[in-house]
Amino acid sequence: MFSFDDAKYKVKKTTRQCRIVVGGVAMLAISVSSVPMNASFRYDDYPSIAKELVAKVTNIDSQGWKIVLTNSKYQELEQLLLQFREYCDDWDGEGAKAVQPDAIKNVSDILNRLKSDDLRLPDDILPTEFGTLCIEWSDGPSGQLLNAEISEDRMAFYFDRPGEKLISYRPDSFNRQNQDNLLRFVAQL
Amino acid sequence: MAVICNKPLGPFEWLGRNLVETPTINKQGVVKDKVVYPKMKADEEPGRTHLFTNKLSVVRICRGSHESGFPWEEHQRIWASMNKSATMKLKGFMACSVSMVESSGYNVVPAASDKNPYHAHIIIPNYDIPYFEGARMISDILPDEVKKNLDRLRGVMTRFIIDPKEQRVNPCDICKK
Repeated sequence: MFSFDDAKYKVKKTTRQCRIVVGGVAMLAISVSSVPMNASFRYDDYPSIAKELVAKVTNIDSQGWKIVLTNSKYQELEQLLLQFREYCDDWDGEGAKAVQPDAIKNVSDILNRLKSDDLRLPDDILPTEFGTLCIEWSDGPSGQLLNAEISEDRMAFYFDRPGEKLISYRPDSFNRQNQDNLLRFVAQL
Repeated sequence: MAVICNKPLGPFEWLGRNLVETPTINKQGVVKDKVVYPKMKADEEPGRTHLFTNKLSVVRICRGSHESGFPWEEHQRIWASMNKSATMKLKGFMACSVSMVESSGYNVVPAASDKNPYHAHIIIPNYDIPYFEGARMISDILPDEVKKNLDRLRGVMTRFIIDPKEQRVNPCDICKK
């Protein structure tokens, strides 16, 4: 039987995926929420998180120990983008335009850059009535909020930090320079 | 016919934004969050028809509860009467209290009619953008200050499902929180 006393947990920054390592061997990796980023800790350090892990581990107990890799945040977002390809005209029943295929491609490009640069992935992607996509990084109601709207050929974003002036980038070309500007703020999250 | 509800709103009254299942979205009972922006259309209020609407439609949730029976039936019946498509269905709400809305700097006013007896509007202050055709992005219209406040309002909304098969809460549960 597995003992948490022997385990170390490491939380990956970009995906908030927690990996349990026993004796240097990765035993289990699952996505958890509300955990410190880049943390490496032992059971006693974060018992509440460990309990969450225990609960999930218990669920597969009957199958014996095995490595279980859940979908990463990146994969979840890519799957969401795939779903948006099916969003045709009037997808919301209120006359919204179809999600623009090139907006999906542009967001996918941003996700790839975030992943390759080991930057935080967005918390959500939401379609709008114009067929554009809003990608959002949020640290809760009172925390930082970064929101970018991406279309087939343009992008706009704002970065809101409590107590500081709103940083605003109005609609402009979806080009490398503007992507770099967005990623620069993602890196500050 | 439902009683038209144009009584003033109380601070603890709950407001909901419809989460709808359409042939495209929310299949298999997975209800996705929606942006909380006003429709990018001209205002219908006399004197403001040259401006983009500054009104967000919401329904007054707790007014829909019944003393007996399934408490969401009234909302579902009204919604169905306004949306004739059999392929669409009211699945739930993104909800928050009037006090949460007002503390975000918005006003809430009743906007009920025979057709939509629990309808209300969240009014976005100082949002007076002249209407124009040809906008291609939300950001072409909404100033970032307005957009940011609406995104934060969405962030504090509670999402819940009213589909009988998936229902976990009723309006009274919401109020008790």
